[in-house]
Amino acid sequence: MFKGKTVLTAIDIGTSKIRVLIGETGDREETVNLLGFAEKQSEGVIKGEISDVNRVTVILNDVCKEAEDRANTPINIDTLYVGVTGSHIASRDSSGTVLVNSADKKVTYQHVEEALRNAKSLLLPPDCIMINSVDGYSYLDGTHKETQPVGHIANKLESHTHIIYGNKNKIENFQSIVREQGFENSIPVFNGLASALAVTTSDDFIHGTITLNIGAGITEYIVFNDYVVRDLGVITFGCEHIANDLYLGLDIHINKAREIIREELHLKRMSEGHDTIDIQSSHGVRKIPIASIEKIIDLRVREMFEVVNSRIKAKKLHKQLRNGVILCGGLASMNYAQVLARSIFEVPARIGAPLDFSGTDDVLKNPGNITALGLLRYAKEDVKIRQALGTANLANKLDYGLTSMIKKTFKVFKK
Amino acid sequence: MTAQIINISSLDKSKPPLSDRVKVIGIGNAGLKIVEKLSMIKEASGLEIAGVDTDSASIMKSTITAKYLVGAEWTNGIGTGGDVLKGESAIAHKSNIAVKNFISNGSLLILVGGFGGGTATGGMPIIARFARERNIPVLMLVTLPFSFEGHSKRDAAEAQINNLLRTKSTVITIPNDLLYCVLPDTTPFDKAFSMANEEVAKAVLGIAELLRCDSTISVDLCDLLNVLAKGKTDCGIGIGTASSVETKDRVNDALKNLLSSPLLGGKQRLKISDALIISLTGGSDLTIGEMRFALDTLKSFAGEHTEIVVGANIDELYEKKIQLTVIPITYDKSNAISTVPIEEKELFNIKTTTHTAIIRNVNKLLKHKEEQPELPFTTRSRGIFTPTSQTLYNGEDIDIPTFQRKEIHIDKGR
Repeated sequence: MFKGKTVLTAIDIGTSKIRVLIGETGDREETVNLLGFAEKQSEGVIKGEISDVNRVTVILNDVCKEAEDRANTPINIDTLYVGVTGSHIASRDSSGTVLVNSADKKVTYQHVEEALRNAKSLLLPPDCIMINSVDGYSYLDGTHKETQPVGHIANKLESHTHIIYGNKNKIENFQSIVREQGFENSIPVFNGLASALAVTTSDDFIHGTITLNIGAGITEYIVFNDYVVRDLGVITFGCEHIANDLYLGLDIHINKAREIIREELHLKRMSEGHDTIDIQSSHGVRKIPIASIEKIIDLRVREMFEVVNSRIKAKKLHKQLRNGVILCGGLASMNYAQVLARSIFEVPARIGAPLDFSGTDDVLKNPGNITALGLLRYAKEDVKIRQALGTANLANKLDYGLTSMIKKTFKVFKK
Repeated sequence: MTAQIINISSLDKSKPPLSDRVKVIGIGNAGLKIVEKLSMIKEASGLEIAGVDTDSASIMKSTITAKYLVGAEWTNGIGTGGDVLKGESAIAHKSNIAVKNFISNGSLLILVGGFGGGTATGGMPIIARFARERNIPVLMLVTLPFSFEGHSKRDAAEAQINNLLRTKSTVITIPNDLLYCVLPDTTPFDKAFSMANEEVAKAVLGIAELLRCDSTISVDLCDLLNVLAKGKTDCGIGIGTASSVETKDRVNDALKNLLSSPLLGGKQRLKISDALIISLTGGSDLTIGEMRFALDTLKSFAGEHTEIVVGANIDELYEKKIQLTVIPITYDKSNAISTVPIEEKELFNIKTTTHTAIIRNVNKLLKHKEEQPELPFTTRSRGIFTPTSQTLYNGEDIDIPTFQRKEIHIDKGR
């Protein structure tokens, strides 16, 4: 089924933009080639969660058609990945044990799979469903810690995994909108995980990094260290909050506030030697001091970073971020954010750059597209596992494919 | 930081310097009389002076050349009768085009008027707005009504000053009651008024000199604005002039004249002031010794907590003359800005007059009001997030702007 080239599709339903990205990958290729990209102003999404289903459905229909036109290929219904987010998403660690009963006591791939399936069968809170899981390390005989247990001799295998779950209905909301477009089975992926996959190297996975995806309405973060997901979370604030602050603080129109943030108008004016921004109003030109704009933005962005920082500090993870902070999403295009992130997290900060993609610069250079690119990265690895297992059966896929996925990803990244 | 540096280097070259065109407008009856006095002073020839009133009779009487009757259709040319709203509408009426033209090419506008009536109280903010729309800095010199003129006038004046301060205007307020402090009881009535008007006229000149002349030790508009912007103020003004033609020791005489200046409030007033703006103007014959003596003496009158801004200028109009201008500024204590210790108030027992009732009145004027300070009223709003559910973090709703929650003031520009 997946012989030759495979067409992959990512759908990112965000607060400010709805994006569809179609890519293509081959059996032995490391990169994903981007074929078509389309985006449109989003409506009916508040703080990352869908509030007006009909409106989103209509817009998504347009965007899908446009992306198909640009890619000049239809969307493959088997490899469609939709990013999900929302404040309901949470995660927890879990472990599962299996006894190695074979005569040679050698741990096989099947043992690991079984241990992980046990780990995954933990009780989730009511109304919750597992979205993704990220495999960690295994303990052999309860003592030796191994990241690659297959081939070792042991009596007992205990595998650890990190499970990302969320409210069943809210996640199905995302899927049902995609279903409306005629794509029956879309695979949900947590946005924070997707954006981390797009920009982190294997080195970042090992030495500790936090990927901060700050979109328009919602912020996701995920902390990796020592091959394991240490923590992840969703906080409902984003660039719209900065725009709202400017709107309320300076008495300007909300769209003008958005424009100031998007285009960094104040920095442009400053480089031209002005210290105010001129805004047309009903009674002539208003002059707004750039210092006020900077003050409002500084206060808000600082607070957003401090909230995330206090959360990871509470879990004592702030000492484990040796590879620093990676910024993704709309806020990352703001130059000032990087400087501020460095000073608040007290580690190096960088803007996320997508790895192993080939496509046009205008898609790859925009930090807002990182989630969509990450979905394609996830899709590529997922398809690879499905090929390896030979289980194209979608019903079995969730049982097999996703649990083992991240480990394969590590292999890819490790090279 | 960088913004400021860039701004200094790229200052708008097309804009004339402040000294170029200082315009003075007297508003209302009192304002007209003051600018009339001003126009008679020889040194004021560098200023462009105009008068604005709603009363055709007072306009007719005035001797100045540029005088505008505004809102005649509105008030039938008989004034506003103390109605502030009427004054506001009269000046905002379309017949104000001449006033706008007068303002339009100025580089600094000084508005003079007596608050408490209709025309000046209502109209001054309107004219200030015209100027602000044209990016011209505005300074308002306002006299407050005598206490015997009754509460209603006083309240109208106070209310308007509070309004003006809220819009970050620069207002120098001079209570007329200060006149009692210096003048003997036997002074004729009309002479007292004409002296007061003359003093205010000199004050306008003094302020204009602060900003207009080629400053050797510079006091500029910003110094004045900075001091005045700290809150509601109560100002006096003292001018002392002396010429070497008439007297041998002109510095001493100028100082004497200054201290007996009716709107200064005496030597003690200097001691209890929160800030003093001192300016010395002289001709090219001004010596460094004179300057030092004058400024040192004035400084010795100031209290130990007084903020002092000193300037010295040379101007050819002041040949053989010396002029000292002092603006003592006292902050309204109800805003709790001042640092003057309470016992220093006792110094304000003025000996120059025996009329104790009046002293009590003036003391009341400057008295520390021990009222409960008003908490700043901040509105909190969720803006575009109003219809959404709250995002709580540490008990705070993060949807409310950070600056509102931290109660940080944001300058909205203009």
